[in-house]
Amino acid sequence: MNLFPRLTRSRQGCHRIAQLFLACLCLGAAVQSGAADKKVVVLGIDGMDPKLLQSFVDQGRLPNFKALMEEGSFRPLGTTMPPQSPVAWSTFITGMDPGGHGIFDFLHVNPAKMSLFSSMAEAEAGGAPIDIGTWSFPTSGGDVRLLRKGETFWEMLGDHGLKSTVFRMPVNFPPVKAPGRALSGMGTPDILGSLGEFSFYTNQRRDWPPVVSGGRIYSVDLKDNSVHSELHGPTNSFRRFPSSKSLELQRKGKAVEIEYEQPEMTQEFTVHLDPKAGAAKFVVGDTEFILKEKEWSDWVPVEFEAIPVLITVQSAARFYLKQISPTFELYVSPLQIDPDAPVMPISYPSSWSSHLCAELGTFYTQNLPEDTAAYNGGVLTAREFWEQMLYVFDERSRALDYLLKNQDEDFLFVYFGTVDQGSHMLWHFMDEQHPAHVKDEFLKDGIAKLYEKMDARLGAVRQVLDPSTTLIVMSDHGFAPFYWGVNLNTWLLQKGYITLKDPSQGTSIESFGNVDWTRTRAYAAGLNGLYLNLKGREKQGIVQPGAEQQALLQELEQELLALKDPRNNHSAVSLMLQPGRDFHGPEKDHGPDLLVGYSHGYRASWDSPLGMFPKEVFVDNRSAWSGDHCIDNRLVPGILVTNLRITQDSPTLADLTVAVLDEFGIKPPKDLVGKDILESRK
Amino acid sequence: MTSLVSIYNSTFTLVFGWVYTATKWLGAMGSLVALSFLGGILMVWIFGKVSNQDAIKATRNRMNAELIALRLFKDDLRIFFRIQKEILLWTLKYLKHSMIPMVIIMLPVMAILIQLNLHYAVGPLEIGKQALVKVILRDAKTLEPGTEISLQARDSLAIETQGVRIPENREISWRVRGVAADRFDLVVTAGKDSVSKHMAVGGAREGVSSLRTGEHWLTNLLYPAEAPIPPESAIESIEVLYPALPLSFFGWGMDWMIVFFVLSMVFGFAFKGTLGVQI
Repeated sequence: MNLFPRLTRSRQGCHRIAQLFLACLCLGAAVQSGAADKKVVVLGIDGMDPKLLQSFVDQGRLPNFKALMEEGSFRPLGTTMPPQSPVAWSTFITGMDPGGHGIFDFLHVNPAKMSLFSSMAEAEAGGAPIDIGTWSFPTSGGDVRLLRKGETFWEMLGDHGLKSTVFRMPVNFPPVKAPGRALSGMGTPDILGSLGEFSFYTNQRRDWPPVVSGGRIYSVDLKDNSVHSELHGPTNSFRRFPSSKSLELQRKGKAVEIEYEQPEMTQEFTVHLDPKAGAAKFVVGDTEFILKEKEWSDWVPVEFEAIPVLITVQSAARFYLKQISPTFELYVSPLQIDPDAPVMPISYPSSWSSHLCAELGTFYTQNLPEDTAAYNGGVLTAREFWEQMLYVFDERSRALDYLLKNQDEDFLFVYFGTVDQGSHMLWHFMDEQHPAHVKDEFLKDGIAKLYEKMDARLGAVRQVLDPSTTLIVMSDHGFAPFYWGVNLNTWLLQKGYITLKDPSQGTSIESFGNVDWTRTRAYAAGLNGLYLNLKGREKQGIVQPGAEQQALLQELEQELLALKDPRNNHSAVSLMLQPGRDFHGPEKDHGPDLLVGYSHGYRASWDSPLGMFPKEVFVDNRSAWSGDHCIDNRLVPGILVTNLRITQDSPTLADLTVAVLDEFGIKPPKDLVGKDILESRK
Repeated sequence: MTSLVSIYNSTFTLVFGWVYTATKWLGAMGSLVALSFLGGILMVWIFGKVSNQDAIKATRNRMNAELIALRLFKDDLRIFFRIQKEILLWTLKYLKHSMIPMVIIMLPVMAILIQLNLHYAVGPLEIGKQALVKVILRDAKTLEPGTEISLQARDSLAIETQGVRIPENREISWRVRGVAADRFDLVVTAGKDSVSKHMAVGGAREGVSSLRTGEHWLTNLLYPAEAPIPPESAIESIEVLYPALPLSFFGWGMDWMIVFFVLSMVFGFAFKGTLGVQI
C-alpha cells in the first residue's frame, strides 16, 4: 500500500521535468559546442621546409611523415609576406594578414622617436613610486601587453564551449585568456626583459670582442683555483641611488637636481676548480653542484633579493663549464622566468606553468631557447650548440608526451622550434656553396637528423591518437640559404634617399644615429621593412603624404625590383609589397610602407636592419647563421601534412585557421581572409 | 661530553622514533599534525610545571582589572595615564613570570625540532637524480697531493666525478647519481682513515640524516641519527646533499617547521584549559 500516492505522482512528474531539463541542457551544449566529440591536434614545427621534407621522405628517413602523407595529404603551405615567424604565426593565430593583426616584423619602428622596438609585446611601467631615501615603493605593479591584434582562433573555439591547450604558441605573451590552458612561447622574455641574454665568464677577456650580440662577456679573476663572480639580474625597482653623472656634477660644484638610478640585482656565485679532477664545484645561492669540463648542468635556481627576506625574484639558469684550464670559460644560459614561480604572466591559468613544472621539472621558458646568439658569437661551438638544442628538444618532447597522455581538451597545439633554429645555424654544414661552409661529417647531416627527430615525435603522436582525431602537422615557413647580405640602407644612401650627418661614420653608429633626417626620404628598418620619412608621422618627416608619397613608393618599388648584385648579376629582390595597398584590416597603415622580398640566397644584412651603413651594398654572409627565410615569401612556403584530404592545391596559413574552425563546425568571422581547405570527416 | 651526547642521541632518537612510527600511517602531513598535537600538549604541560601558576593567574587578573578600569575612566586623563602605567608594569611582571618557563620550554622544543628535522627535512636521493657527497677534513694538508682520498659506494649509487678538492674549505666533494633503490653505508677513506655514512637511494618516502659529523658536541646534537665521527679521525664530517622532502596540504607546498610551530601553538592554546594551565 502506497501511503503517499500524491507524492509519488509528484516525484514522477519531477523526474520527467528533470529528464526534459537534462535533455535540453545536452541539446544546448551540443548546439553550443558544434561537434563536441571532435578533437583536433596541431603540431606546429617552426621552419619545416617542404622541399627538405619531401627529400628526406624520399630517402626513407621519415617513415611517420610518409605514412601520414599516404593516409591524408601533403602540400606546401603558403606563408605570409614577410615570411618571418612572428608575422606568420600571427596570421595562423588570427586568420588575418598583417593588416589585421598588426605584426609586420620582429622589430617595429616608433616614428615619433625614430627608435626600434619588439613587435610582439611591450612592458608598461608601474605606478609612480613613493621614494624614501634610497628606497622606492611603486604604488602599483607594472604590466606587459601583447601587441598582436585580433581574436585568436582558440578564443573563437572557447566562445563555442570548446576547450583548448595551446603549448608555446608564438606571439602569445602574455597568453590570451580563453577556456583551457596556454603557455607562452616566442616573444616571452627572460628575467632581464630581453629575448634571451646569455652570460659568459672568462679570465681571458681580451680574447673576446668587446660586445657580443645576444649576450654579455664578463672578466673574472682566477685566484687559488677559485672564481668569485656575480650573476646579473634585473634592476631593483625598490632601490634607487644617485646616478654617478649627478654625483660627478655635484662634485664639480654644479647645482643640479640629483637623478636616481635603480641598481642591478645580483647573485654571487663561486666556482672551485680542480684541474686534476677535471671538474669544478659551483656554489650558487643555496645550491651546490659539480660539473666536469664540457658538461651542462641541470636547471639551477637563481634568486635575486629585491627586499631582504620579503621580496625575491626567482629565475633558473643552466651552466656550461666550457673550459677549466688553461683558461677558465663558463657559459650561463639566459636567466629564465622560473615556471614554478613566474614573475611575469607566462601561462593561462597562471598556475599552469607551476603545474607543468611539477610534472616535467623546470624547463626553458624564454622566447627561442636554442642559443643561436652564443653560437653565432663564438661562445659555444657548433657541437655545444647542438647539445644545447637537443636538450631543448627533449624538454619539448617530454611536454608533448605529457600533454598527449593527459588530453582532455577539444583542441591541442604543441610548438617545436628546434628545426627552425637548427636550420638557421647548420645550413652551412650541408651546403658546400655557402660562403661559411665548414666540413663536419656529423653536422653535415644535422638538419636531416632534426627532421628525423621530429618524425619520431610524429610517430609517438600517431600512436596515441584516436583515428577519428584530426591531426595537422604544419610549419609557418620553409627555408633557404643565406649566402649574401643586402645593406639596404647603404643602397638607399648611394641612391640619395638617405643623407648622413657624417659620411665617414657609416658603420660605427647604430640606430640611425648618423642620419640627417631633414634630408632623408626613406630608410630601411627590420628585416624586410622600408619606410618613408613621412611628414606628420616621422619625427622629422619630409615626404608629403599623398602624391609625393605614392610616387616615391612606386619609384622605390621599381628600383628595388631592378636591383642586381654586380658580383654575379643576380637579381637581389624578386617581390615588393605595399602593405597599405596589398593588406587588409585596420592595422595595414601601421607597418612599413614597403616590404622587400629578397631573392633566393639573399637576405637583409646584419648591420642594415639596425640602422647602420656599411660601405658595400652586397656582402658575403660568413656567419654561422647561414640559413634563413626572411625573403620573398613565395620561395619559402611552410608545410601542411594532415590525415585529412586537402582540397586546395595552394593552401595558405590563413586558410588553415579557417579549416581548424570548420573542423568544429564554426563559421569564420568576416575579417578572416582564408577559406576552408580540408575535407572534413563529418 | 661527546659520549654523553651519543647516549642521549641514541636514546631520544629511539624513543622519538617509536612515537613517529606510531603516527606514520597517517601520512606525512597527518603524522606532522599528530606530532604537533603531542608537542603542543607537552609544551603546555611543561609550562604548567615550571611556572609559578598562582603568580601568573594573579598577574593576569590584575591586568584584566586594569583594562576594565581603563574603560571606566577613559574620560579622566589623569587616571587614564596612571592605569596605562599600571598596565605596563603588570605586563612586565607577566613577562618576568613567563620568561624563565619559556626558556625552559625551548629545550624540549629544540629536541623535538631536531628529531622532526630527521623525519621531514630531506629524503632519499631519487633514482636518476644527482647529489653531492661533501666531506670536510680536519686538516687542509690531507688534501695535498700524496694522500689518497676515496669514496666507495654500492652499484646502486654511481660516483660520476673524481673528488673535487677545495683546500680553502678543507673540502672534497663528489657528484653521485642514484641508480637503484638501496640503503647502505658510503665509505670515505682519507689515507689510513675510513669513515662510513648511511646513504639512502630511492624507495619509500622517509626522512634521512644528511650529515654525520664529529665537528663539535653541539653539532652532534643537531644530527643525532648517526654516531659522531671520532675526534682522532682525519675526517670531520660527511654530508650528502639530499633533496628536500616535499610536504603539501591540499596541493599547497608547506614548510614542516612552520606547520609544527603554528599547529603546536594552536593545540597548546586549545588544550590549556583542559590541562588547567595558565599561560
